[in-house]
Amino acid sequence: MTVTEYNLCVEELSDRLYRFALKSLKDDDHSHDIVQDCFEKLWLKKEGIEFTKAKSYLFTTAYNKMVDFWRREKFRGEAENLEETHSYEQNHYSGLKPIINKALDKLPEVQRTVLLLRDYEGYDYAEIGKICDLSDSQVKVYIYRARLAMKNYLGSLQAVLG
Amino acid sequence: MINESNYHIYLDEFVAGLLDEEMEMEFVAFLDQHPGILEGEILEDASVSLAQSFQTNLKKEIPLDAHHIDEYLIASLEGDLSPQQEIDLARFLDAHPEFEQNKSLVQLTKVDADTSLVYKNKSSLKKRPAIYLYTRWAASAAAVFILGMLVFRFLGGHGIPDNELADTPVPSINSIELPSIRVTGESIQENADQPNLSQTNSPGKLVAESPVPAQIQEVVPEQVKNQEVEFYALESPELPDLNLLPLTITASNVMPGEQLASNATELSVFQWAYKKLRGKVGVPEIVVPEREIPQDVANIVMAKVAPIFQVDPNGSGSRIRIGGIEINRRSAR
Repeated sequence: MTVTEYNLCVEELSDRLYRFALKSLKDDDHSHDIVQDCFEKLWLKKEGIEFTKAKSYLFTTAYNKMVDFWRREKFRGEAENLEETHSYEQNHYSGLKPIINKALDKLPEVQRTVLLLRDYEGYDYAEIGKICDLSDSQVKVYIYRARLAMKNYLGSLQAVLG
Repeated sequence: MINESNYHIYLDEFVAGLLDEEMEMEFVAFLDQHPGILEGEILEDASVSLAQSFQTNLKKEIPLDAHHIDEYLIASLEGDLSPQQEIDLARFLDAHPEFEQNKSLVQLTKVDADTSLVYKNKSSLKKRPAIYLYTRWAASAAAVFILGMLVFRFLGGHGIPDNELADTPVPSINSIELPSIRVTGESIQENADQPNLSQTNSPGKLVAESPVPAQIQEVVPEQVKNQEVEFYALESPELPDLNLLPLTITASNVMPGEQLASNATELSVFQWAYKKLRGKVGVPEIVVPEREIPQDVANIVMAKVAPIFQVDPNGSGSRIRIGGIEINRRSAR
């Protein structure tokens, strides 16, 4: 990968990687750190990574770093507090968006991650499986379960709100 | 292969009852080998009622009814239904309009990226090309290279003492138009009556002869590399007799010939020039890193050629005078 191609990756993918990390982690600072770390690794290994594979490499690296983050947070017992301590974007939306984001936030981490890769990036099951080290079937199950959980949550709110 | 990095995924599957018998045994064996690994682990509520296991159900014929309508709606959203199944689903919804709400809710689960969320420090992630040349250094190196041309021409293997070379008179200065570089003054074509450099019977002395106009030629590089500074090289490393062949100036950073590879960059051109010159100007051979020439050597060479060449810093570029020709060069944009 040339320097120009690397910079093109920054231009094209940094925002998308950041959104993926932010939505998954719900932590702005760590999301910035992850993006920076991912591109640093890409730069160091640019000689061995083809331009066409850079996106997959970046998202795989980001996912692995997110897993590390979740493990640390769970170990500290802080995971439950994240939702309250990092209201990173709730005020940016209006209408249905906050509710849909709330439904997304309620998903288990793995389900949320595969759903984001599916909807944000348009990856197919096999590509998501490579990034998250899952089988195609596991990815499919997680996506179906995520959508069903979100649908049920949105339906329950609708029932309450009339 | 279950390990400490991915076990939580299998744990989720295990809790949901989705692992097949073989994987379940492997997971249990993993837990036996890692006692205490589940401490602090939040076991997910497997309340998501996707008809037990969709993975298993996919192998069966899932009935299209009120119990499985959500599965069908999700499969439709995912593009997993066959054309016939899509038709069946549409007919089912027509017959049961009460499930239109389910369809609307499932479609809401397709999340869109919020493009207002952007990475703020994007510029800090970008990198500059690896080749950096500073103007003064580049001008020095260019002078080294150009010197090689004249040393070969004037000395021609006979050898001229350095002090005689230093006494060489400086011809009058004219300017020429060069493609792709900034030029001052008149075109050399308009000054064809100006003296040109050539060798005489008196070694090291320059006199005016019948002019041989410089031929300006811009060569498109075969392989243009990212670079900070453009380099204008004198072509022909074999240095033919300039009395017979016109001086050719190119705007290429790729030098033909066996001395330089076809993908040579300006740095390797400079080093090649240095190696050619050091014996001629009395500079001892110094082992230098690949793709570099030492600044002090460049300074020595420049001092020796000062009476012939005038290389002056000129803002973002430099001016080089070769006999009756003045070349203004500047950093690449």
